[in-house]
Amino acid sequence: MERDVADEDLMLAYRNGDAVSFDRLYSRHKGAVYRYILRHCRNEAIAEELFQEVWMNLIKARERYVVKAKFTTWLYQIAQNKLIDHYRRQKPGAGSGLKTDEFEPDDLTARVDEQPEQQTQTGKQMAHLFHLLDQLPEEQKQAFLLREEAGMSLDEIAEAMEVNAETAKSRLRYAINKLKQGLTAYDSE
Amino acid sequence: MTQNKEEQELELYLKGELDLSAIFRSGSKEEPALHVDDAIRAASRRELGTGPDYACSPFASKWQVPLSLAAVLVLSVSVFLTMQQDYHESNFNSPAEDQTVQVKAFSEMEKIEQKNKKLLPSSAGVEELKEELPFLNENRGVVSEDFAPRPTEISDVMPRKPKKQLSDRDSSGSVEQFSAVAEPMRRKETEKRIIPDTNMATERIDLEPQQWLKKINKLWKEGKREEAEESLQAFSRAYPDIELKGYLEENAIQELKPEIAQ
Repeated sequence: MERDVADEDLMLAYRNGDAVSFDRLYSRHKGAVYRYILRHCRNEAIAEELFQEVWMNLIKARERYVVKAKFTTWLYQIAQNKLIDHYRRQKPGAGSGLKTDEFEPDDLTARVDEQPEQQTQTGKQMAHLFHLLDQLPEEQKQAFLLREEAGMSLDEIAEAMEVNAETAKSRLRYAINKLKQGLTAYDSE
Repeated sequence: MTQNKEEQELELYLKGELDLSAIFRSGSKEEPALHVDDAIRAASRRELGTGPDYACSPFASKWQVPLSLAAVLVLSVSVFLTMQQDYHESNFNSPAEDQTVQVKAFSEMEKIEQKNKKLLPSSAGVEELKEELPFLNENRGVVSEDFAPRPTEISDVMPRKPKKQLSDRDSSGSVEQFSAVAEPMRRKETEKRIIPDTNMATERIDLEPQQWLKKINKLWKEGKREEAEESLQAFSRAYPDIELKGYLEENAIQELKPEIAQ
């Protein structure tokens, strides 16, 4: 029932003054957008700040909203732009082409390592997967997260990343392959 | 060969047949904090021009300001009219009400005057006191300033007193200061008193009470009993607190006011 109304229609309704439509739209996407940002910046406080900025941008842009593409494509483009701005503020000269190995190891992995006895096998795999994710180049990581968190198809990923479908497919393929290899190696240890 | 394998894995992944997605999603459940949710929702309403407080009232934004202005206007007009009405009422009281209020005020002033007379000794009395107390002689200034009894203020509590004698009214003594204020007021008040339901009803009484009683006495002696009786009734209404005994002859009181004689 909740998904009966398309995201684009809800956004148009909000543009026309319906606050309830915004609530529905927000409820649908808040978790995925938040996690998408959190997986990139790996800091809850920064993630919350960027998350808030993404939605504020969307709110302020409501009057100019027209349906040109899927709503989620637009939403994740805003999120990606916010991340790039954040990286630029952190390291002048850095941009969308950032690689994850430019950052410190992830907090989540560290937390998992502190209490190994409490971790189940799935939990350990998950922690290792997040660690592997952080090792991926930014474009491959972005393609994987758009697929996993936003549930986008290859074409939608291509549109959100503003590349052609083949490039998006290639990035996702590399990402899957590296993550799979890393998990297999971890399991065999 | 390798690329074909990668392609196959991608196909399996997109179909959801790789356990990679399951592992990832099992640990990916974070949500934004509630205060962030609230802030964003509030911002979305602000942008629409309907803050959280107004969202429940569809008429709030249109009617609130005019309604408030109208309420203020109505209240102001009603307060103004009420004040005006009160002003008129206080300035145009009936003569009877005026007389009652004035007589009451006058009676209160008389009581205060009486108390002052009782409390304040004469100057001769103060001198005697000084002579009797040697240590006071050495400190005359202190005595006169610090030990001299002060005149009673109107706000002081007054005990109920018996009826006054006319002689009290005429004495001045140590209450000169108070009498200087009270006497003109009393005269003015006396002048204003109107005696209804008598042949003197429209006349202003310009006699002192003592003179008035002498006049009544004279009327009685001349055999003008009715006039004397009416005049005495008027006097009693005007000065209900003045005792007649000693100023009217006993026979006259017995005849004109038998209830007093008893």
